[in-house]
Amino acid sequence: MKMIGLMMIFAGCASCGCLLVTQYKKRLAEIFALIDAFEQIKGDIDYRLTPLPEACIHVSKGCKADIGHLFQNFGEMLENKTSMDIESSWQQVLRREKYRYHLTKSDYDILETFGEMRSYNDKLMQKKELEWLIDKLRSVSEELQKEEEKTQKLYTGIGILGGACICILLI
Amino acid sequence: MEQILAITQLGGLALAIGLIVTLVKKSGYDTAATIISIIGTITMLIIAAEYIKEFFEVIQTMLVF
Repeated sequence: MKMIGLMMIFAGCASCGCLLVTQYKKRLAEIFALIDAFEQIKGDIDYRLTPLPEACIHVSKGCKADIGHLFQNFGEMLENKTSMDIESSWQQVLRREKYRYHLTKSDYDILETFGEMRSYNDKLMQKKELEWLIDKLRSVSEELQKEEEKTQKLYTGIGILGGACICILLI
Repeated sequence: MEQILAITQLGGLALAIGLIVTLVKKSGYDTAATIISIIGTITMLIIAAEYIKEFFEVIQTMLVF
């Protein structure tokens, strides 16, 4: 009975480590999906002269990693005019959809700048603001990619070895 | 038998903590590695304290008449 308990503790700790690795990978995938989405929005505004609400709804259909919900809701909110300005709508959507994603506070801080894009800005200004946002997200993704292997090893190792430590202490 | 188990326990714990510290240090979290090693040392001292006490008691019985 004692051995089964110890094995369960060990398996629990090891799976916690694996869970952290999965979350890290999902965060990276979500950031890539966000970069893709913002690139598409930029293209829609730049070449097709699509208004922001329509561009968001259009982009949401082709998004990966569940990011589509974010743009779908934001686009619908802007079209239905449920909020007075873009900033509060975007923040509302981010708060509502936060549970779906694995992004950290620093990622949300970068994302919030998208809401600061003024509706009265011309095409060029909107494009510049989107480019700035994409650059920021790209630098985050590069940093995450650089540390991916190291972090994966760390989380898995700490999970397994931490579990082993607890088991040894309980024997 | 009990003492062999205790020695194995301490050795295993030291090995696991050593590996954790190496992993954490390699990842660049030096402060966390120091904290982990201090916690590990204290835990091992707590486990070993009882045996050290027993050891001193044996010496005392040998020397005090």
